[in-house]
Amino acid sequence: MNRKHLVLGLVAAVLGVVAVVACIMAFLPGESVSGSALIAARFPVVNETYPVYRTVSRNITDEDVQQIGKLFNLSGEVKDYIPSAGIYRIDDCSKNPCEYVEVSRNSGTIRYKIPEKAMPYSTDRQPVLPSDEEAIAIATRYLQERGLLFGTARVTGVSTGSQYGTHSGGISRTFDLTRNVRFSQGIDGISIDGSGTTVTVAEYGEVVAVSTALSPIDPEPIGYVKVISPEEAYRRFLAGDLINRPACCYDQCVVRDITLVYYRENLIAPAYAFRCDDMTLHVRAMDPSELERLGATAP
Amino acid sequence: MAATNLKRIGAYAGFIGHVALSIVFFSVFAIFLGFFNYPYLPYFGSNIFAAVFFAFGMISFLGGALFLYVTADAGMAWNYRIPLVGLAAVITLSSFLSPALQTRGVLAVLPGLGLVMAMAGSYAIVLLAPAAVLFFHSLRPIRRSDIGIHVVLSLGVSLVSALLFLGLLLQTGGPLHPYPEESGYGLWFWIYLAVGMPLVGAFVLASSAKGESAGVDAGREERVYENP
Repeated sequence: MNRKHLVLGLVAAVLGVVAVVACIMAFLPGESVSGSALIAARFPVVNETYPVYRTVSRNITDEDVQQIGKLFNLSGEVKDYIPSAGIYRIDDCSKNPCEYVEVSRNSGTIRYKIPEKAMPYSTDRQPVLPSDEEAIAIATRYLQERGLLFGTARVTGVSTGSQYGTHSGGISRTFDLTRNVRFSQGIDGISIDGSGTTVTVAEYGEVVAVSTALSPIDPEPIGYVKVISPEEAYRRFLAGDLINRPACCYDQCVVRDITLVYYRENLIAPAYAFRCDDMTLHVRAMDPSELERLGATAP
Repeated sequence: MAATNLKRIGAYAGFIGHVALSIVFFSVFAIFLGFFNYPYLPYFGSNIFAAVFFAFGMISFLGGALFLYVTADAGMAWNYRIPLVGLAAVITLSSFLSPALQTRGVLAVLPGLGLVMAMAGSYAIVLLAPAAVLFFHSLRPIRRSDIGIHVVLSLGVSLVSALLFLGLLLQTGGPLHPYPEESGYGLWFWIYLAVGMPLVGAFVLASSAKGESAGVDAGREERVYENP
């Protein structure tokens, strides 16, 4: 083929594709959801309205905190640890190492921890950690034995917890110190993100931290809200209108999955979950006016 | 006289095409400007990478095509110019089509197509440095006994390209253009984008001024492309 014809053909092909696509996009205003984050997922089909739930608030007393401490074999005095946040704490240093449990009277959340084992510590060997399956079995049994595995809670993932890194002689090594097993509840087949239960399993299968919420969900919705479309949610996602905005770098992620979930804050309300490879980001699925209509306010 | 004028016009066109071809290597500077200004562009939205690579890729592609057209009479060396122009075409199409494939209709049928198209653009960006070495070879044959510093440095940048190419092949997920602090791949990608590509681009630009592409001054009309 004549070289000049080849070049002209290549130019015609490229310009032709650009022109055709530009014309198509000009006739489809609002169709494009272009943004810096790339979508490799279908937009979900959602209902027009969804119910909004709330948790049943409990009046947590000192005796309740003592009872919760006993669940983790902790004994000691109940301290008004952070009065402004309503957080009470039991420290038990009769054990070696020390352990503690914190209870929030406002939200009903519980945090049990053995800091020396749950937090990163220096080591020169890889601790013997259970496999994912073993960690799930250990965490499930641990919660069941203490009555902390609520109704519809199910395992949603296992991930690396704390790590410790060394660098010497030009060689870097990273040791995984703990594994986190996450559980979340669901309503009407829709999972609840935001504040599930996390059990941290360390060497030889020892549970060294638990984070969970006690307050049960009131099965009676406080009302129904109209949800925004997935495309509108994606636009808000690009604009940074997120429930919890990470420090940086989310705008270049490849979105692998978009789903409608419930997000637990002071209410349990619908939200869109954008799952990138290593993070999940949430956008509220309704306008604030919808919550105001129900007599509630967005957090 | 008319033939001389035509030859001079052709030489100027070749020179302009050669200069334009180097533009895509300097995309990072426009990307930085975009980061500072956060513009919201028609069609591309907030996707600075796609907008810049489309604009700069298009200029490079059209310039490269002009250069190829004007130098179509060159010998076998002409073929070594095609990869660089072809990569500019891939970058242009990839950055333009990726946003177009982010529509509800396309996502409902082929949700991964936009990602595939964007990946093709990433591969093309990474391959620019080795393609530039082939381009230099087409202008002046690279011989072991006589290797210019621009070829040595471009080959060095091509080594980074090879690492990035491997990284792209092994990358199963994560951001397409990660920031330096996010991963080792992100750090090397930005070193390549901010240092390697402009360096190679400067050599491509400089090679146009050397008269290797076309003799643009009156005394060099007769100078044509050297062939291996």
